[in-house]
Amino acid sequence: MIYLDSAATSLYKPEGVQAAIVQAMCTMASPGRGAHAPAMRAAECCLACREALAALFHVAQPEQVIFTFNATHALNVAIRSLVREGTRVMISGYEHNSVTRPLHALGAEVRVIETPLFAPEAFLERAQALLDWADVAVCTHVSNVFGYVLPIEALAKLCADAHVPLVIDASQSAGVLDLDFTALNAAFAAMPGHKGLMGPQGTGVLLCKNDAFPLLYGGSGSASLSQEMPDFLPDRLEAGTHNVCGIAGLLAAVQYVRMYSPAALCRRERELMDRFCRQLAEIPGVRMFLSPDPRLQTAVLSVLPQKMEPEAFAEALSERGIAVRTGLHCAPTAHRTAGTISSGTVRFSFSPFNTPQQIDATAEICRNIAKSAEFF
Amino acid sequence: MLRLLKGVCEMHLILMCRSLTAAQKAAHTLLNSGIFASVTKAPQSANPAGCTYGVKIAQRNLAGALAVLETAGITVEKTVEAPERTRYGAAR
Repeated sequence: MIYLDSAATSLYKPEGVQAAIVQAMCTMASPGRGAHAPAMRAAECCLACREALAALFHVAQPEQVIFTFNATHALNVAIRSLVREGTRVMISGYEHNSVTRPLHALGAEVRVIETPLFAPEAFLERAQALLDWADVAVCTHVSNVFGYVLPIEALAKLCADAHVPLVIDASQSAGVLDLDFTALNAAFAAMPGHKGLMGPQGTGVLLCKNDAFPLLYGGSGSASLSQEMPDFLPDRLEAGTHNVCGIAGLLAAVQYVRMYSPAALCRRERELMDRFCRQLAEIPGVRMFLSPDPRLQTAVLSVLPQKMEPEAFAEALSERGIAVRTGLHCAPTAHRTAGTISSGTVRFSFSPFNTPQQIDATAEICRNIAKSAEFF
Repeated sequence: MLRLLKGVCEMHLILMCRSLTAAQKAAHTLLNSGIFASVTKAPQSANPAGCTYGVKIAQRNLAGALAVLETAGITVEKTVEAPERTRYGAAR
């Protein structure tokens, strides 16, 4: 099997992740629920993970690093902290349902910056025009469908100048692109642990500039006499038992990412994607959503066969052992903006652990599907 | 003999922090400064807000520990005595 769906979840994990999970399961209890050795081992693991994430994303204090179950959970905390019914929210045209559904549920007034793919100047121009109107801005750093790198640094500057709090969805950029949370001066950045960071599923992270409102209420192991959640981070946002095994795995993964650097891992992925694109370009009838400027795209490639349903193409690939994702990728807003809402796309997304041989084999299979069925 | 007794009877204190994470940071900071410190659950009787954690240090290190933590920007909520297996009393 060749796994090319890393934008959904990393399947290939760095060495050490699995062992860390097993070790945590066998030796760690729950942080903040005692001072015995298993509880303190868990506490040390959680702090080490917070510190590693703080170092990776240039966060001043480890308390600002909040563990969540996934990026959606983190985004819900961030959005519910800033948005009420009628709050005016500006979003990019490439947002995931994990952003748009909470905004819809809260009754926010949303305006979408619908600008073409790989056109950061147009995006910033529209964003600038909307900032006078907006109370809050939410923007993905990288489109999960097209790998389009939005100009988050420039947007963050515009938002800071306009005193509009910014929530960054770093689901596709964490572990892939450099992200300096302190320099961006954003209110929040949300990310999963299981995509670019290559940790286990069921882990997520929220970086907080200041305070936030809890989404969950319950035990925190602190200030127990009060019926309010503690007024300090991270306890305020971490009710209930932590996913210690997941956090231990995430720590091992983040250590790996820090050792090689997001830039190096992204470069490796892009080399693989470019190798694939060169071969796919020789097959007639395949539309690739590829930026002419490589700096504007991570290793996520959407493809549209001209004479074949994307699902049929993915099924044919799956039958031959290639794992990709089709449909709307939980991001109808992105497909609407890019004009692919009626068909969806076939998404190939790459991992630094994919090999050139896997890429060549996938391209060969694509060629064979095209030849045998004349689908393209 | 006197030195041995002095070592056994040495008073320990708990520098109470508002969260486990803050206590861990405090302990790491002190250890990095050469002051032995360990994270401990703070005594319930000394904390009206409910559960919290602190760092246990030798009394002789109090002044140095407080200076190190202040420099590091780590807040100590309260300092309490931590005699072995007895009730805790406020030290300041």
